[in-house]
Amino acid sequence: MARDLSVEPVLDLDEIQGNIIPGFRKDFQLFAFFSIEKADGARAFIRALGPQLDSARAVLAAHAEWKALRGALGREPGAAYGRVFLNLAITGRGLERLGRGADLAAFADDGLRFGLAARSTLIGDPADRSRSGHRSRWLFGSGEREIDLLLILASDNAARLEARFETFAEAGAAQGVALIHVDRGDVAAAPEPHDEQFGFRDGISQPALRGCRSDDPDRALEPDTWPQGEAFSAHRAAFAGPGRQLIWPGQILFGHARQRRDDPLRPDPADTPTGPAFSRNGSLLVYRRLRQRPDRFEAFLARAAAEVEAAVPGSSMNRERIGALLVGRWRSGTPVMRSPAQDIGLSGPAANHFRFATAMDVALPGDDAAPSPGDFNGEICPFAAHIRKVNPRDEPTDLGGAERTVPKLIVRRGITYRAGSSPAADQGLVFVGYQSSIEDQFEFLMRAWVKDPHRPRGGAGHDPILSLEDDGFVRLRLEGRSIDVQFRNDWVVPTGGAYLFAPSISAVRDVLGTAPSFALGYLGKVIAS
Amino acid sequence: MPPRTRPCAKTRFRFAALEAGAAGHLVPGEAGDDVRAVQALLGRAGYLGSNYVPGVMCSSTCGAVRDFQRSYRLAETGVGDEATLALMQRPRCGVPDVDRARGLALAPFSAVGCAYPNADLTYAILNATPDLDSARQREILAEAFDAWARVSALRFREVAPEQNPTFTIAWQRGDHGDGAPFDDAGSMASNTLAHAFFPPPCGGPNAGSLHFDEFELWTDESASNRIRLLNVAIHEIGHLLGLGHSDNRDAIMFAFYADDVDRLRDDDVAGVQHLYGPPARTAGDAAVTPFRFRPTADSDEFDAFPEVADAWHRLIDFFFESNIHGAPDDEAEAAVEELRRWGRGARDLRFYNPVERAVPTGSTPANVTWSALPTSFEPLFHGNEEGMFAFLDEPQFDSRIGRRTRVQDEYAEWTAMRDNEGRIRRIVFTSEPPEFYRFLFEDRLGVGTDKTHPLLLSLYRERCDGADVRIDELADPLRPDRYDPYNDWNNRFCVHMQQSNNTLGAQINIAARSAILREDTATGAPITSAQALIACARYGAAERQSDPTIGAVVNAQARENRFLTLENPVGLYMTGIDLAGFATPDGSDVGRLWSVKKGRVVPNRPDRTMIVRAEFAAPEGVGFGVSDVTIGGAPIRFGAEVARHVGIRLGVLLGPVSDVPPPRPIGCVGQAPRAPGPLALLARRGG
Repeated sequence: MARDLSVEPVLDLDEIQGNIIPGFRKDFQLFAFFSIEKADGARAFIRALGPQLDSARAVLAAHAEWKALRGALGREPGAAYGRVFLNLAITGRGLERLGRGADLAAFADDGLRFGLAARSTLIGDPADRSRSGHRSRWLFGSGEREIDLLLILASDNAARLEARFETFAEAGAAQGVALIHVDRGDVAAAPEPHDEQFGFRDGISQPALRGCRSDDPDRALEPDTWPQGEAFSAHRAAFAGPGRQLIWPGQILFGHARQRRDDPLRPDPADTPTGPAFSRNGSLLVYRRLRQRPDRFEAFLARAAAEVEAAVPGSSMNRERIGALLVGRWRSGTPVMRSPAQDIGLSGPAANHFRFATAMDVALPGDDAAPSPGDFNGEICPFAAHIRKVNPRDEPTDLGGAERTVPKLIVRRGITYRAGSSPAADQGLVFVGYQSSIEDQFEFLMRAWVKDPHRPRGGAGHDPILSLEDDGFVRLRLEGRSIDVQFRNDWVVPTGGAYLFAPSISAVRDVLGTAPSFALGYLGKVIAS
Repeated sequence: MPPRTRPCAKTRFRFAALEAGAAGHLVPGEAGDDVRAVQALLGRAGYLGSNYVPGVMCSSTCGAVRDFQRSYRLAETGVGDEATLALMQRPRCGVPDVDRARGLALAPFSAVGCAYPNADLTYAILNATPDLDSARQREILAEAFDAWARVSALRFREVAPEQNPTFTIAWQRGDHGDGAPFDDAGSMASNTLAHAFFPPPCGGPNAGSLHFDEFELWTDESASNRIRLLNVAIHEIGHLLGLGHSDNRDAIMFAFYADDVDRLRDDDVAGVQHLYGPPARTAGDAAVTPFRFRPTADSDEFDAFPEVADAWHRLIDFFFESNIHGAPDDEAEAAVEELRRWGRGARDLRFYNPVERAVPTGSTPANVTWSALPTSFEPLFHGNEEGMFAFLDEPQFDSRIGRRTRVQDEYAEWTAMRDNEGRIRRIVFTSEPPEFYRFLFEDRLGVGTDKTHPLLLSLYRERCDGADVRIDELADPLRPDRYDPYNDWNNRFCVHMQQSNNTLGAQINIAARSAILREDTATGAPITSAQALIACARYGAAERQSDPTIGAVVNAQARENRFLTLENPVGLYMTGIDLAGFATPDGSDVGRLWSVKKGRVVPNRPDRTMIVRAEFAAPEGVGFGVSDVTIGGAPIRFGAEVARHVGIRLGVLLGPVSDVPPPRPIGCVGQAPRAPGPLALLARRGG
């Protein structure tokens, strides 16, 4: 079945901030968190930022420019491409401080209304103050260090990125917008570029947003990247390419329709995210600063491998294999579903061409590895494996059919960081995810699946990367036996974060950058138009 | 006798006395063909010796009629009355009911006193009937042997005729050399369908032979003037094993054929187990105690009432039976009934009743899990969560039943009890099915309401804050002998589940019917995804979280050829509450607010916990109420907000991958070659 672009909306690419779609995808990203001390000054600060924000269209154009330059140079341009992107987001408290309390109340999302710190134990962060990861120990985003505004800057040229940031920091200081915290992301912060800190290739699987760049029906934002041929026709309607589930814009953006219930191919025009009028084309942003401890993770893998080997002699368990079972991928990114016994170094679309519950029915050209078999009972890839927990793909869940997993997907724009060069340096990942409901998407995934050992499948165990439960376990199925690997995660520690709203570019200019009385004028304009 | 051209229905013997306008009976002194036929039947069945006057009632013939009537629990008139003649002319097995030499007589079950000494037996099929596809005949015979193997220590294997099989099976016509000729027209022998010979030495030189009458028209479906091979095959195999005829009309070993008797009943099972023992038990289960369904959540409520405990076991057994095989007066669509409409049978079902079939060695428990907060109504509210929670919290008018009922449809229900200012005092959760309460009220199994009603009232009073609940307040206002699940006490105090699909029967029906493999009949492609399966098989409600999930998990096991059943004690269990993110205004432990009122909690093992009643309420004197508790910073406004964090599970027992031939898929409901019965249609519309 073909994808019907005529029913997908034309996206207002001049309005949507560019890190939502298509994503900045730069080597360096800087996340600057501010607190609003003076509302008027903050409005002026924001007003001045408005025209500088990079829209989706601008970022798409820049990516094309970068590609052309790479073609001309015959190599990646690196710092030679010096463009710096800018985006902005605001927390619920930030909206209140700008006098937008009524607008905040118009958002249905409790996540935005109450903020990450108030929600942290709900999603599984420690409730015990003495435990690392508790919100009282965060670097920012809690208590005295609550934040209101986030600026995201991104570039391949670190020097220009820093220079630009300096101007914003100075302007903020002059206008009652105090800098609270800065995170500096670097795709090369891990030992291998594009790996995360534990040495696993990251960012392989992303949903693909439906919608068009213009009303020319051939201009899909995310065009079909499947190989040609009938063999793939059954996949084209729901996937832009291998593992790239198509999602309706309302799942990420306000003012757009979400998926019709149980039918990923059709939108439900009556189901749009609930927010104030100016929320259209905006998105909710979850920011989590996750410190990673590779030494502790490796020690855990060694212990777990030894325990499993002792329990099932001859299972030839080792750190690499147990790591793959816990993540769901080998370090190269090869899915365990494609190669249960060893890392065969799959990359590109082949590394994302798999399912869990039912066998993959078609092979990609040149992809000679065995297609993923059906693994309904989690005997190949454990139910609790990180990538299976947060995206069970085709398998039924506690919600019902796999059609109900699609609306849970979020777009991820995270990047690794490393503060300092010593082995003990603070390093990790800043998780950046966009969605239209924090409650139903990010929080659901964390609350209902990551931290619940019996969901989405009974007897799964906990996500060994993200769950911070005291009595964590992962259930492995080996040679017909069940083995529970116990753990208490001290290798991924939340050290800060926020729930924010990333408004449309016009909303920054016309609403956040103006006093509320002006906003009424804006509302009038919207209603009149 | 020359073979007839096929197909051609047999001309069965009919008593002239039963024809329209005839006397309807044979009295002493009467003579003629009818009398000759009575004597022929009584002779073949073993009631009449050689000392009688042929063609004349009565002398010794009347004594034999009386013996026949006694055997079949008819009025012992000693004459050929209408009921007697009507039974006599039905098609039947050619094996005698009575064999004085061997002491054989009709009884609940009877054995000839001969049995095979070993449990591993073989059979060979010597020829085939043209009436049925030969592969299909082979399958039906395998299914018939399997029916006996499932309930006994016996194992059967088909072998080639030259491999010295224990049993040989053949279609024969006319006189086929064993001294018991078949006949195709007119004589009493024309009512004989088949016969089989007992184990040696009882069976004589033909021991181990089973003969079907080729004059019959054999079929694998229900059709008038055709005979279902499965029914007759199971029956005749019973003779091969050493069983005589039963006097129980529902038993497979009843001598006369019935279209709808196609499986073993208790006395058949007792008979074969008497001869060969019960199925091998799993290791560690050495005590050969019969399987018993335990009370929900292993409750001790029945401890003082052993008869009630026994009746409960029978009730759950009935739920399995009626949803697997179908029961005459049940309303549910049964799995095997549906399979039969596709020319399939019980051997294509991987869900079983543990009473009927031993739990396979190596079976492991597994859970299907979901949240108590329904998602069915989300499309009605389009993200208006507050509106949806307010709707879910209150009973709503249901036009199908004409009453107000809770609409919470995930096998758990709650009531948020509020004070005069609308603040929540406590939230009561129940996952107890209505069947338990209906069972106590209606006492259909005859335990005696002197026992069940006091128990029912004590449960109600305990759940209704000690109120003086009277039995008449629980009765259906229109039919006082029926229980009313929408009674005022239940509505107010959430005594047990009442949403129309939140029943044990529904749960068992979903598990049974989702164990049927489905395919797209146009393409032959298997149907495997949760929503596609429930749309195809129409078990449960597709919009729920639970039903499609249960169906998908069960179906996947059946596709892997695993036998499965439900955990004992069967129930719908809350696993507990996840209080992460909950906070009290004074910072005290929020865990104090959750209390389990009925059920069993296994610490840190939600997968084994069996909670059926619980409350979320602030303890006395703490100075705050439920409405002051926050979840993720947001104060609790609705019971639904707490229900979201309550887990539900359905426990199943998954067998290992079996080595029996895999089950065969069928198409979707509504596409069957044969129409379902009216009751099944009714049930589907209603549920």
